[in-house]
Amino acid sequence: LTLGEGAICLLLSLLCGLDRTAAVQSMICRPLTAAALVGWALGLPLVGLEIGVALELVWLGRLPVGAAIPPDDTQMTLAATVLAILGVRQLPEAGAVAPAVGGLLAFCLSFPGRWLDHWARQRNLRLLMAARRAMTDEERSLREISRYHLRGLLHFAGASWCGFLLMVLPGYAVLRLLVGVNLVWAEPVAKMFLLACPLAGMAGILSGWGERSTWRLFSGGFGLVWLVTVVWP
Amino acid sequence: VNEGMKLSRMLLCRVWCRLLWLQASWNYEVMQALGLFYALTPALEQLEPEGRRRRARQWLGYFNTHPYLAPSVVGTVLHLTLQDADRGGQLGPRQFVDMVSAPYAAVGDAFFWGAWRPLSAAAALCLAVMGWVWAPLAYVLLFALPRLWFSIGGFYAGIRQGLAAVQWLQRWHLADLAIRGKRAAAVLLGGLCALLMLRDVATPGAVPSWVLLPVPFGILLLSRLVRRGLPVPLLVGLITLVLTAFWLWFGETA
Repeated sequence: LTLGEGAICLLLSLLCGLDRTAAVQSMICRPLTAAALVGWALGLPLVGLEIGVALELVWLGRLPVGAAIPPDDTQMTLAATVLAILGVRQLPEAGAVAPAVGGLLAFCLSFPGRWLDHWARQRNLRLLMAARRAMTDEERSLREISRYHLRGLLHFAGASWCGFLLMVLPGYAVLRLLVGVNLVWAEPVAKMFLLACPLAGMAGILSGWGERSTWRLFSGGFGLVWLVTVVWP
Repeated sequence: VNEGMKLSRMLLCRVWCRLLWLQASWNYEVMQALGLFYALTPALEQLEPEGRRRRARQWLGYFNTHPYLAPSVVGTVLHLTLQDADRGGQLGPRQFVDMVSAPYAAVGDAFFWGAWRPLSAAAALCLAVMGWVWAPLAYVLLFALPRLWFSIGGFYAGIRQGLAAVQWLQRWHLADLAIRGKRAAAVLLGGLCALLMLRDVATPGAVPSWVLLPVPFGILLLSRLVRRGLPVPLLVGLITLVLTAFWLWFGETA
């Protein structure tokens, strides 16, 4: 990565990381969008789209309800896309495998994301305490006290960057080790890994919904597309 | 107490924009309360100095609702705060917030996270798999439609109608919409599954298309495994192994 590309990646990591919980929540943090953005920024939009399609559904069934924190699929996707693009550049002989390698590395290295999110929320508690203390001080204006709230953005931003770098840096080291290794044999596995991700995500989503009627509708949708594509192409 | 309070359009815009950052200081104790306080600050500054701090302090208590329905709550809070000055309102803004935030959260979670997000995702993924590169943009726009409607409309209804904004929200039957949204999402997910399988597995000459017909049964089985506690990463590994073995076996046979 050039310095400029690295800066763009960090900026996207920040924007998407904040969009996830702290600000706006416009869904640019979703894997499909975030991966496409990084792919487009690094000049390989189709690789980004491929990663986005693979990872979008994986954690979609885990809802951010109340105090429940779903796994950080945003930084995982961003890291997966960056690693996939680095893989395409560094492992030209195994181009088809690179997106799956990036996805797999980010998948394996994604576990700190949740801890970091938890850490940011714990740190935010201090802001509340500070705001409550400031409220007892008659000298402090309401505007001044309300600004404690915005400091929480720094915690979420820090968590996003740490999560991103904790995936990209070790992932990059692994990619360096793979330079020169013949990975053509892994093409079928890589292809099936990218297919397995959305299928597992679908199973995860359907597991949270009513079984019989949902499954009938799912099968109906499957059958309809199968018929339209295969029988009346 | 609030005779000097004026809710100009500019002030209302500021409050609404501040609600976009509602969760910036989300924490486990009071959740979105500091965000609510931040959003209300421009309005609280309009209050008479006497009692302003006491009124402001009450917003540092517990608050948690769905972020997209929070503008509706805040709109009503502003209305009630004004009404308090004019007529001595019966239900205080804090009581109103305590009363509605949990039901709003439940209905908002069910509709936005539980139904509309999977539906938008499935639709966008179908477009992406069919080769439409603008699918991510379609995803964001599709998701934004109801979000903006309930966020802006709810805020406006809250300011104009006060407590009747609850009826405005009820009129949309979000819980029923959530059920319908999930059904539609299930159909789209089924279609997406077929598109993916036909694209990646049913290679002409190797795996015939009819072999894919039992796939929905497989997904049903997998969903049961997830419900019994199988972690999704393990499931991804399991599916990868099975599909690779299946694909290689058919490839060899062909």
